[in-house]
Formats: sequence, structure tokens, C-alpha cells
Amino acid sequence: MSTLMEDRLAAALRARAEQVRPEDLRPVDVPVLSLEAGRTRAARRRRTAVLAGLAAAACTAAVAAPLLLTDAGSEQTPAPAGPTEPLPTSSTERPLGAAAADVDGDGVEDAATVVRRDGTLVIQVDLASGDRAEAPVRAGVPGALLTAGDVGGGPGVELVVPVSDRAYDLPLVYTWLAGEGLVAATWPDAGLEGWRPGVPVNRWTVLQDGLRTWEAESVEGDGRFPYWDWSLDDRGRLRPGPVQLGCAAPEDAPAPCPDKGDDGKGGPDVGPRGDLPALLPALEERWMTDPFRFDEEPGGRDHVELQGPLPEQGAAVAAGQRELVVTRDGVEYRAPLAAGQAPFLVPQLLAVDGDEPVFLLERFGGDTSLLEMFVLRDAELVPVETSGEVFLGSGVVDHEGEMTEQRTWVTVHGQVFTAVLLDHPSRRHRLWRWDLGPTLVPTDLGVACIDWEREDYGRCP
Amino acid sequence: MTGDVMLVPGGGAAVDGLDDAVALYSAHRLALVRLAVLLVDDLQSAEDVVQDAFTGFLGRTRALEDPDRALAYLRTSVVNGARSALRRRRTARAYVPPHEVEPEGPSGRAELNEEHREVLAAMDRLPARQREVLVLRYWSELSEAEIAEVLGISRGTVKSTASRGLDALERIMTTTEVSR
Repeated sequence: MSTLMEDRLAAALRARAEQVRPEDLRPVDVPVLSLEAGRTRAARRRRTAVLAGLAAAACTAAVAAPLLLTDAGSEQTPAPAGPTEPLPTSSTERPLGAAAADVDGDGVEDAATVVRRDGTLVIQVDLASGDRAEAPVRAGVPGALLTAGDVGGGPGVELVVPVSDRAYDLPLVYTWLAGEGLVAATWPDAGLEGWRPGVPVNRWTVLQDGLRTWEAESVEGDGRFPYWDWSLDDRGRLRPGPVQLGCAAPEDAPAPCPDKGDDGKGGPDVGPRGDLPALLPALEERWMTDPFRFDEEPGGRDHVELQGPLPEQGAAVAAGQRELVVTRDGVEYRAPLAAGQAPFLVPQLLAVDGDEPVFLLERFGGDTSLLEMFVLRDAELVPVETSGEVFLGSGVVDHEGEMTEQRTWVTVHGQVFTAVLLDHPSRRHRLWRWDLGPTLVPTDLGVACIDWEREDYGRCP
Repeated sequence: MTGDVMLVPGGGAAVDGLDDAVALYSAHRLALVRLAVLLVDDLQSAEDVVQDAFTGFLGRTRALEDPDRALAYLRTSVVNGARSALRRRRTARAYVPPHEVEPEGPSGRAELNEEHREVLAAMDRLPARQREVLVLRYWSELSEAEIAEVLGISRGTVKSTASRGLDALERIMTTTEVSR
């Protein structure tokens, strides 16, 4: 890190910031919530209203704060002159969505609506206690649906507002916090387990007892999909539970699969899952030659691709003819690839531990495939050496004196496993998970029964 | 009472705690707008972001009990709002037909000297999180702990993100200077 770079950065930021002078800011426009005889009027709730240099003592008008807790039913509140109307009212306010739910957890249902006031969306909850609570819906949300679901661990029910028509945009969730009222819950930073922003296979749905996100990746066999159930902590932060595998049609939220019965497909029982990690579903075989974006942000700049002249169909590539190219944080990293069959890029960010992104290539030769792993280390894109008793790939192998099948696969969660078939009728396999340290090491997970055709696995009966 | 609005006849109203909110906001508004400009590079968008942050802030009346926490909340809202604004901008630009000319960059930077323009252009190439950490550190001059609170991340992540961001900036600047 260069002190000079820090100085240059600080100077540039200071210069740009100081271009904004106080006189450049919009003029003061104070929204007024006032009462006049016979009616209430909410005036000038413009989003552009600002306050600047306004002495507190001179502030005689109420700012139309989005969260107003008007104690309309309280005897201690001075009664407004003349008949009142529900606050606020304006010609631009019309209810768009509505839900009946016990928002504040007092055991009595409240009435929640989404209203549009002069171009701004507001969630409005008329509590059973007679109070009203409101919270703004952030700019850019087009509208109008409102759903209730019990996401949090508290007594109240949450309100959920979709932000777009896209199924993979996370919704807004509003919850009731003791002492604070109705607040917008916060999602975790992008990149945490359970959600990949902007990825079209992501879905979310509100259930009666929670919020569920899942991946609608098409899966062969009986259609298992990873899903996460979310909950709220006492600070209004949404947290995912552990990943689970469920059964559903691709466009419906998955749920725990029914008990395995005789599904007519035959095959032995694979036993209980026990301590096994999620071995399946495996990543669909979609090896790519196009750039694969792995940035945590939708439309982000980080991507990985293969570059270099392609060989003739079936021909081998010379050493260095093809390169793995990773662009991260605006910087390009290159690694020449070894000679051999033309490699393919596995379009999945791997979760094999370590802090840096890991990339996987696969080469095919007849019944055999070989995987190569690359990692960005110390600003270099380097191949990862493997060590241990198995090789990183698939094919026919000699296992303890017997020729048998070995399979290596990547799951939709980015984990890499290798299994060697021990016994065909029982589907018993010896299983390893690949973990990244200084080298890539296969961790022995013991024996498991894996039925590839039925996409099922367990610790064997 | 915690921020209740008392409605009085005649059109005026006084809010318990609101005066403090207004005073706090007035004192920091310029700095918050400048922070937003450094993130979204557009004054109008920056003012919208800051206004939204203040609007949401007014609802969090308990934040008024601690001015430092209130300011951190405002900064967090501004950073999150800036990120949302940039996302909307990217979405909108994604639908621009190829034959349309990309709009010119903000005129504000045109008045800066070349060195500053190049540094800011290099900042544009960083991921949002790195930009945010670097702006909070080298303009807002927040400590690692304060940055961690604003962004809701660990201090270790602040440190590593800042380090990666500076390294990336240096590489980009070096590449820019070599190519001249």
C-alpha cells in the first residue's frame, strides 16, 4: 500500500466533494402537516423537500415524517378543530395493496395498506390500538402488492412488498420492533449464503410461517432444489437458515420432500442422510466458453473466461494456446493452460474454503475427465496442486486392486466431491470432499450410498 | 413520548424530539450530500439519496437518543441509498439500444484537474463496496470501527477491503500512466 496513493486519493475525493457548496443545494422546502377548520391537509410532501440551516425554534410546522405515530384516540392529544379525516389525505392518496395481519404482535389483527401520496409509496398500518404507524417504501419500487408473513421470531407478523416484477429481486420486509415501531428489515450483504443477487434462478416466496428463498435450477431426476428459510433477529436483520433440499416444480417454492416410498424406479434404499453434506444436486453439465460473471453484484465487472484460439474439433491444444483470464476489481489476471484436450470452464463459483475465488476447468478424453482448479493468490492466478489418494476427475480407476468407476462433480452449492463405486447393486461409494488449503486435499467422508438415477443419497442402510 | 406528533389547532405542530432531528440533519446535511456525490457522482441523485435517508431517519426516533448513532444511521442510509441509485442507473442503462450515444459524464468532474479526474475514474472501476470503504476512510475520515458500523461489516473486512481497493487503484493508475 502506498502512502502516495492514499494522498492522491484523499486529494481527489476532497476536490470533488468541495465542488458541492452550500449554495448548490436545493432551497429549503419544508413539508407542512397542518390542520384547518373542517379538514386536514398534507401539503407539499415532495421528496425533494430539504431542511438546511433551519433553527429549531423557528420550526413551527411539522415535517411530514413518514413514521408518524398519531395518537388519534388518546384523550391527551389536543383535539383538532372541526371534524377530522384519516391522516393524511390528499387527492393523490389511494390504497394499492392491503393486508390484514397482527403487525405489532398484540394479538389483534391490524389493517395494513400501501398508499401512494404525491408519487411516494408509504406503508400505512392502522393498529387495533387506534394508533397509526407508517414507513416509507424506498424510491424506485413500482408498486403495489402487500403480503403478510410471519418471518421473524417475534410476536408480530411482517409485511412484504415486492420491489419489481422480477422473481429474483429481493422484496422489502417491514417488521415491528419494540420501541421503534414499523421499520424496514435489512437483508444481509450480497454474497451471503442463500442468495446470489441478480441470478435469475433465485426465487422468493412468503409462506404463512416465514419467508423462503430457493434456487429454481432445473434438476434431473426427482427435482430437488436448495432452499433457505429466513428469520429476523431482534434488530430487524434478516438471516438465512441452513440450506435444505426440497421437492417442487421449478416455479413453486420447494418444500421438504415426502418420505421415500416405492416410486417405481427401483433401486435400493440409500439409508438416512445422517451427517452427510449436501452431495446433490450436481451442477448441470453446462460447461461454458462464454465469460462467467462471478461478481457479487448484478452486472458487476468480475468475470472469468477462456481466451485463445480454439483447436479443431477433437484436436488437442498446445501449451499456452488457451489462457484462463480472470478480471477482478478491474484488474486482469492470466494463467496459461497446459497442453492437452481443450478445457471447458465450469460456470460455478466454488465454495471450497479460502478467501479468494476459485475456478474450475474440465478436460475430457473418452470416458475420463480431469479437473483443474485455479485460484487467485498474491495477485497471481495459479493452478492448485492436488494431494491425496484420489485424483480430481472422473473415469475408471484401480481402487484397492479392483477396477471401478470414479466420479467427480460440483454441486449447485459450489462444493466438489469425488466418489468411487465400491459395489454396484448396493450403490455403495467411498466419498471425498475437496477442501482448499495450500493444496487441494480430498477429505475422506467415509462410505455413502449414492443413487445417481434417483438423485438420492444416504449413509447406507 | 417518542416522536409523537401533537396536532394542535391553527396549523402548527411541535414534535417532541423532532427539533433535535432537524438540528442534527441541518448540521450534517452538506457533508452527507458530499458523501453521496462521491458515491453516485451526481448532485441531484445525491440530494435525493440524502433526503430519503433523512425521511427514514425521522421514523427512527430512538436513534435521537445518541447523536453519534444517529449520524452513523444517516451515513448508512446514504451509502445504501447511493448503492440503490447506482443499481437503478445500471438497470436503466442496460436497456439503452446500442446505437444511442452514451450520455456524457457529470460536468462536475470536468472542472477538476487531470490528476483528480484520473483518480476518480479509477475509483469508478472498483466494486461498490471498495469505493464505499475508501470514500469513508479517505474523505469521511472514519475509523475502521466506524466504517464497520456504517457498512454493517467486520473491522477485518474493512481493513482487507481497503487494502484491496488501494492495491487495485494503484494498479489501474500505473496502467493508465504507462499507456500514455
